[in-house]
Amino acid sequence: MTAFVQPSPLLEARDLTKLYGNVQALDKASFTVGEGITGLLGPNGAGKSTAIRIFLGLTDATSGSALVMGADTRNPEARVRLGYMPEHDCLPPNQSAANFLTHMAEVSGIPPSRSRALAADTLRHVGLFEERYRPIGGYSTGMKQRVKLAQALVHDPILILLDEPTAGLDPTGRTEMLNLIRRIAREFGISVVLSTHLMQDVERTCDNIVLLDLGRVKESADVKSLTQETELVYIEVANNRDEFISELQSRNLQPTLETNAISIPDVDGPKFDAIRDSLVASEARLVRMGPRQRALIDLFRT
Amino acid sequence: MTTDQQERTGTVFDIGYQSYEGTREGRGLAWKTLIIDGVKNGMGIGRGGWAKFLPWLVLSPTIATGLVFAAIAAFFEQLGIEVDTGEGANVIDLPGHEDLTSVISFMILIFAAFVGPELVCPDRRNRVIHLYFVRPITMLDYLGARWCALFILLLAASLLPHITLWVGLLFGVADALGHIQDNWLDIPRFVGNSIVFAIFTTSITIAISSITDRRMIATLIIIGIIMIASIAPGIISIFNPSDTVTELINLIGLIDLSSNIVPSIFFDTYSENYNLNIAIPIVWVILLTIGSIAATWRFYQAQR
Ligand SMILES: Nc1ncnc2c1ncn2[C@@H]1O[C@H](COP(=O)(O)OP(=O)(O)OP(=O)(O)O)[C@@H](O)[C@H]1O
Ligand SMILES: [Mg+2]
Repeated sequence: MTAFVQPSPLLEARDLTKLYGNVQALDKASFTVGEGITGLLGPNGAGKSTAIRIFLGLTDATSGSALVMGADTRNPEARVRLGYMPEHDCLPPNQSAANFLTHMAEVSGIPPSRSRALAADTLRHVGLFEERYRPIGGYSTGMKQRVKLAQALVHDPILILLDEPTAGLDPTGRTEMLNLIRRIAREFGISVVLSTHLMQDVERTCDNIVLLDLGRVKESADVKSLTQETELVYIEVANNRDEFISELQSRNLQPTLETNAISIPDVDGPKFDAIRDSLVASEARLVRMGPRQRALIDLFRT
Repeated sequence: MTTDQQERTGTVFDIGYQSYEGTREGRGLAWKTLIIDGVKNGMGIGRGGWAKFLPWLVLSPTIATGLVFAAIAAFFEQLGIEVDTGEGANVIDLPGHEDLTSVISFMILIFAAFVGPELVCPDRRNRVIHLYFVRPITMLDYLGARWCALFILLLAASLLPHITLWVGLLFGVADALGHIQDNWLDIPRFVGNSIVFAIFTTSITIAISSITDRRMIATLIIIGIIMIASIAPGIISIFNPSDTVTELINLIGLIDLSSNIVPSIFFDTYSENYNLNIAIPIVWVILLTIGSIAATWRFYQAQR
């Protein structure tokens, strides 16, 4: 991940603003999307779909700029290596998945001599090889989601934008979809932007996160650093709790007394030693101690 | 390429992802694909039931009319009566290409009402259109290609009966070569008229189809507009307007316009039948066409 040459990011938003009448869908949002899986996380109405639609050239920003691999979104060439899976239904019910994907590949510029094979390959990768000649109208919700994903992949893009790909799926279907998305990034080498309002989706899948709320970017970082920064250690002692706390305070560990445990923020190696010393000095008996990663949900509270 | 790996691992089915290294063609291919797809959809190819038969059901009377016209000519020829299908007929004035145009234009308008919505409405209803616009094409490419597909269908629909008649007459008349020499002008006339008719009808049909994403509703609206536009001049004529006003009002009638007024320009019979300056119907047809295209563009822009 440590590259010496900084290539232009896959997506770049600079002060992106979008107004629908007087609804501010995006408010000077600036962020970049690089390789890997990036979660676009935010509650309903945060502006996730709007941002995605601007990058795809489906709608124009009111102000600010959006670049796709360095190109202006108004240039259709910017979409040659881009894939999109919308949040809503978008499939023709009386075509077969194989025919539909072949057609879409050709519209993207894949010559007819190759498009059919590419369509079949893609359907195999998403697990729909057997059913590919059946009309899409007869597919289950999970199968339709996979056709939607397949059409985003069929022309071998560099980056795919998935708008709520887990919406409407049961827990098993969601796990399968997230696994598939991970495979697309790890094995196929295709970068992914995944929009969702579910924290767990991001925690389970994403390398990076852009947190949107009311059209503003609240956080933009890699998932690991976000969860590590807020690492807390919880300690429960059986006796001498007050002495233990004052020992911790004297060592500048900033303990906080919660319901029945003491929490200490930002614990690293030397601080662990200090905790051990405090225990010894206060003669408190340790019941339980463990690091707990603060869930990404806490980010919404700030 | 992967045979080595397959033999080693023994799994034939799990060939890993292979990125596409081949050529990527430009928007030309997208146009071609969208046109072919549009023509197929319009004719119900690859679809079941009604969709397959309806276009042919609506289209077959036009070809049948061409055949009947040819048969009538052949019949009189058999009787030994001198036949001339061109202008200035000497003995019997048999129906020719201009008459054929007046008969089939209405049928082709109905054909357009069924086929046109099929090309553009389902894409919006199924929302496949969103998938088109995120491909490396523009709205102009999409609408242009769909327009071309309907144009091809309507041009074929209006040429086919004429070709049937023309070929039929060749077989029907005794002196085929002489017939060609006398009537060769018919070919550029019916081809020209068919092209203009197809451009005009395609543009109007697609504009009306943009109003709704339900194709049956679009079909009904188109038929309704054709009917109302054709009845309106009749209603207004109750008030006994002057000849010029009557002719101007008749231009509203889409059936009259495409069955009689425009063909008379191509078959050079306009001045015999109308007093209005010939430029007026020409400008009117151009305005209707451009207006329809502009309206279509606005509808799609608004729905983006
Ligand atoms: N076409 C539109 N016309 C008017 N307002 C719109 C339009 N599209 C989005 N909005 C508004 O813009 C805001 C952001 O919408 P957007 O769809 O981008 O949010 P989102 O993060 O995708 O939400 P969700 O989780 O519901 O999909 C919302 O308040 C929404 O009502
Ligand atoms: Mg959304």
